[in-house]
Amino acid sequence: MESLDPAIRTVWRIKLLLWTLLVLIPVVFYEVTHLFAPDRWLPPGSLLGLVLVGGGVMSWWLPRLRYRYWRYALGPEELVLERGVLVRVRTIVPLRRVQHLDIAQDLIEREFGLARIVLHTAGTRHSAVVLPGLRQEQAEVLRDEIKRYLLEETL
Amino acid sequence: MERSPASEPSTEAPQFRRLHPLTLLVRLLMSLPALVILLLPALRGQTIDQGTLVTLLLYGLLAFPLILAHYLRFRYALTPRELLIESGVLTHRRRSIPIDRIQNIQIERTLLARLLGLARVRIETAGSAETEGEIAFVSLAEAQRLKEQVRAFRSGPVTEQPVQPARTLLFAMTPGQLLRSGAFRFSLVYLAGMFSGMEYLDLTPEDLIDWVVRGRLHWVQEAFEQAPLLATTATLLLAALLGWMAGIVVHVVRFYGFQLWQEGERFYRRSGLFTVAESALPRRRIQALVIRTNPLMQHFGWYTLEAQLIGLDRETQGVQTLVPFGRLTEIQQIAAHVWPIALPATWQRVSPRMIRRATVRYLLIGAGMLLGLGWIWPEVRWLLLGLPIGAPLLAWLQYRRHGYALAEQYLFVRQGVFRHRIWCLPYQKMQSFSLTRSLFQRRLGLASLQVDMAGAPAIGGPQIRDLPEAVAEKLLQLVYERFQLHCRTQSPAS
Repeated sequence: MESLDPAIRTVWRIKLLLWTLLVLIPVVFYEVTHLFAPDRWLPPGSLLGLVLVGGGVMSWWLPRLRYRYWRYALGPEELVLERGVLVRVRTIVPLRRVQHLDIAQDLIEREFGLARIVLHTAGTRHSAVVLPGLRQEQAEVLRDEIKRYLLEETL
Repeated sequence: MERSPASEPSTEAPQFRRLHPLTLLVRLLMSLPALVILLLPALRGQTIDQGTLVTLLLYGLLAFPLILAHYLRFRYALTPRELLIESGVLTHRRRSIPIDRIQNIQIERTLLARLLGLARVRIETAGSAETEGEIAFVSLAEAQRLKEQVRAFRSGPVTEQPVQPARTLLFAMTPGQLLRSGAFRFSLVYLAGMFSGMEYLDLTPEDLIDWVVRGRLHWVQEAFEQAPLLATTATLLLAALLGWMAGIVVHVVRFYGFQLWQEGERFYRRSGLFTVAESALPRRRIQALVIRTNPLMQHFGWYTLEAQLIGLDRETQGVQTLVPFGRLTEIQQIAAHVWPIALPATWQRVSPRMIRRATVRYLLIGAGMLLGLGWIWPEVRWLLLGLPIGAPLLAWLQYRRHGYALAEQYLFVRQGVFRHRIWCLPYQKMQSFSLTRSLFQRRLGLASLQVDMAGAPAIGGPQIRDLPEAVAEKLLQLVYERFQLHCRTQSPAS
C-alpha cells in the first residue's frame, strides 16, 4: 500500500488554518464588542485564546495523523483505500463499478502541484470516493490506468 | 439508433396540440392554497380590510394571467421519432425527447383531475432519474392515445413485436386486508404529530368528551381536575388513538386498490385512493429486495416486500413497495418472480460485544433525549429510572435480531428491532465495500462491514455491525470474491 505525497500535510494544515480563521472572525467581533461589558463571565480574550490554541493544535496534529493513516493501492480490478483517524475505514471500489472519474485540484493543491482523483459509482453512501494528495503527474498516470481498465472492460 | 433512412424524412411539420381547456380550472383551483396562506392573517381576523383586498388584487393580477399564459404557451406534438414539448412563459423552451429513449409513460390522476376526466402524463427516460417531461392536463383518452402511440412507435416499424408480453397479476389487495394492514402501521410520527396538534389547538380529552356527550358526564371532568396524572394519561391515550386512526387513513389513501403485475421484464404497480399512481419497475433496475416488518406485524405473521431501485427515485428514495402486506410464504413467492430467492434457514450472529456498545449508546441517547424533553415537560424525567433496564434490553434485542447469511447468489442481512428489515443483496449489483472501525470498536476488536448498493437510502442502509475483526476481514474478502466471480460469469453488459 502506498502513502500519499507528504506535501498534502501542508495543504491540510493551510486549509485547517483557514477554517480557524473563519471561526476567528465572529469570535474577534464578540471579544471587541464585549471588551468593556460590565457583566461578562469570561476574562477578556479567553475565548479568542481558546479558539487560537485549539485551532493551532488541531491544524498541527490532525494533518499529521491523517497522513499517517492514509494508504491506497491500485489492484488489478479494484482501488483499495484506507483512511481515518478516529474511524478507520477501508474501502474497496471495484473498477468495473466506476461510472466516471475526475481529477480535481483546488487553489491550494495547485500551488503544491497536487491533485485528487474522484471516482463516481452508482452507490449512495460512497457514491464519490476521493483519493487526495497525489502528485499531478502521478494522478494522471493513475487515472489513465483506471481508464484503460474501464475501456477494456466495456469492450 | 435505428433510423430507417429509406423512408421519407418526415418533413411535414409536427401536429401540435394544446392541453385540455379544463386545465385552466384545475390549475386555478390548485393555486388556491397559496392564496389561503397569503390571506391567513386576514382570515383569522375575520374582517376584510384594505390589505386583504390589495393582496387579492395582486394575486388576481399575477396568478390568473400566469395560468392563462402557461396554458397558451404550452403545446406538444408526437411524431414517429420524438415527443416535442414547448413551454415557458418568460423563457421559451422546446424539449425534444427521442421516442427510443422513452422508458415509461405514466398516467397519473389526482382526485380533481379524475372528477373532470383529466389526466397527467409523465414521461420517464432511460438517461435521467426523474421525470423528463410532463404534460398536465389532457383528457384521459388523449393520455391513453399518447401512451399507445409511443408504444407503437417504439416497437413499430423497426422491430415487429406482435407478441405483447402476457400480463400476470402477482398481488392485489382486498379492502379488508387494506384496513387490517393500516391498523399495523402505528407510527410514532403520527402520534407526535397528533400530540403537538392537540397542544396547538388546546384540545383536551375533557373538551372532546364534553363535545361528544354534551356535558352529561361532569364527573369525568371533575376526576381529571382532581388528578393531573389521569388527565395526562388520557391525553396521551387520545393522541395515540387519533394517531393510530390517522395512520390507517394515510395508509388507505396510499394503498387503496393496490395491484402488482408483471409484463415480461417489467413489473407494474398501481395504487391510491385520491391520486391513482401507476409506476413501472423494470427488473434490471431492481438492485435489492427488502422484507420488512415490525414486532406487532411479525407476531401476527405479516410482512412487507420492497424493492430498491436505481433511478426512478421520485418517491421514497428509490424504494418502492411491491407487496404492502402479506404472509411470508406469499411474499417469497412474489419475490421469486423478481429473483429466485430462498430465505436462509440459519443466520450468522455478530459479536456479542455489540450488546455492550449498543447499551452504552442507548443509555447516552436516551438520557440526552429524556433530559431534553424534561426541559419542556418535567414529568418525562421520571422515565430516566427505566433507562438502566430499557437500554440493555433494547441492545440485547438488537443483537438477537441482527445477523447475516451468505448464499450462493445473495448476501442476506437482517437488522432492527422496531423496524425489522431483511435485505437480499445480489453480489452482482454491489457497488463498493467498506470496513469501518471506530475508536470504540477498535478497543473491543470489532469492525463493521458496509456494502454500498445503488438506490440505497443514505442512512439506515444495510450494514453488518460489530463483527469480530478477523471475521469481518474474512467476510469482506469472501463477499468481494463472490462479487468478482458473479461479475465475471455474467456478461459485463448488464
